[in-house]
Amino acid sequence: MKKSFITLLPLLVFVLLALLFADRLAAPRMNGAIDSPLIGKPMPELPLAGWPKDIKPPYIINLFASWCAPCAIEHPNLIAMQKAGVTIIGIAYKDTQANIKKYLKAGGNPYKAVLYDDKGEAAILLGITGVPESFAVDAQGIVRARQQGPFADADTINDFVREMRK
Amino acid sequence: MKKFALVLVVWLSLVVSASAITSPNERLADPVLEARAVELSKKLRCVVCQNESVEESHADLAYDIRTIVRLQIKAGSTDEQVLNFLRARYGDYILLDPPFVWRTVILWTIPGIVFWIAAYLAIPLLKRKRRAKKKRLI
Repeated sequence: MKKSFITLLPLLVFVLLALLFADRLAAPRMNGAIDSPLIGKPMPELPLAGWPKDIKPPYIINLFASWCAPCAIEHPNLIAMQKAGVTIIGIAYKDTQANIKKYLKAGGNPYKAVLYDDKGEAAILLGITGVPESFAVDAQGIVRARQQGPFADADTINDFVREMRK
Repeated sequence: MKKFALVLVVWLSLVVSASAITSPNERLADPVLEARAVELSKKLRCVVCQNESVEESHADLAYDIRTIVRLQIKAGSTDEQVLNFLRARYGDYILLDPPFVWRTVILWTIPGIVFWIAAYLAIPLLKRKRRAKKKRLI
């Protein structure tokens, strides 16, 4: 009895692992992103000069930089979102005003306001790992979703905007 | 003896240089506070690297987090407060040692469980082998 159990053990382990992997593979994908702990909490106050008090949520906070290639990829999508009536506040991450001006002149300006985080302090308060990264803030000022990396496809954008309007 | 001392000195200098990657101008003037900052940075994951601590990493973000850790320590935060500040923003992922909570029970208990199962299976086998050996000797 005992011996047969030992010989069957590798098979048992194999079946258990197969079940575990099947379960994990079937789970919804998160694109390798880890959910932000900020989700469900009020948008933190950021130590940035010129925070636009007259702009009321819902809005999207978009961290970007003129030196960031994926930001340039998502830029036309941001402009499309702005044209669809979405308010976007831009935070320029470790960049200069001159470079940002040039960048927005060339690609168009989707932002209602642009703030400068030259030392990357605000970025850490938001827990970002790199640019671009975006946060959907709902009408109550609560963070509803985070996007790590560029807005590349319509589904991602629609889901994100829907979260913001909830 | 002299040789041993030399080896010890070389080894110690290697250990020191391996942990202190932070550039001198990042350091806090107070050695006690600086030591706390280093210890804390060793517990933090550089979130853009592959399994490197904030203390070891050359990444920009790791530099920024080292700076924030030092700013907060200088401002009088406890180690706990600094860790909680970062956890509120980056989640438990920022800790190199995951905390022992419900979500991580499997992670923390499986090695022990596997060890005891293996021991339970292996000990009778080893005993039988030893007995067989003894018999042969006689």
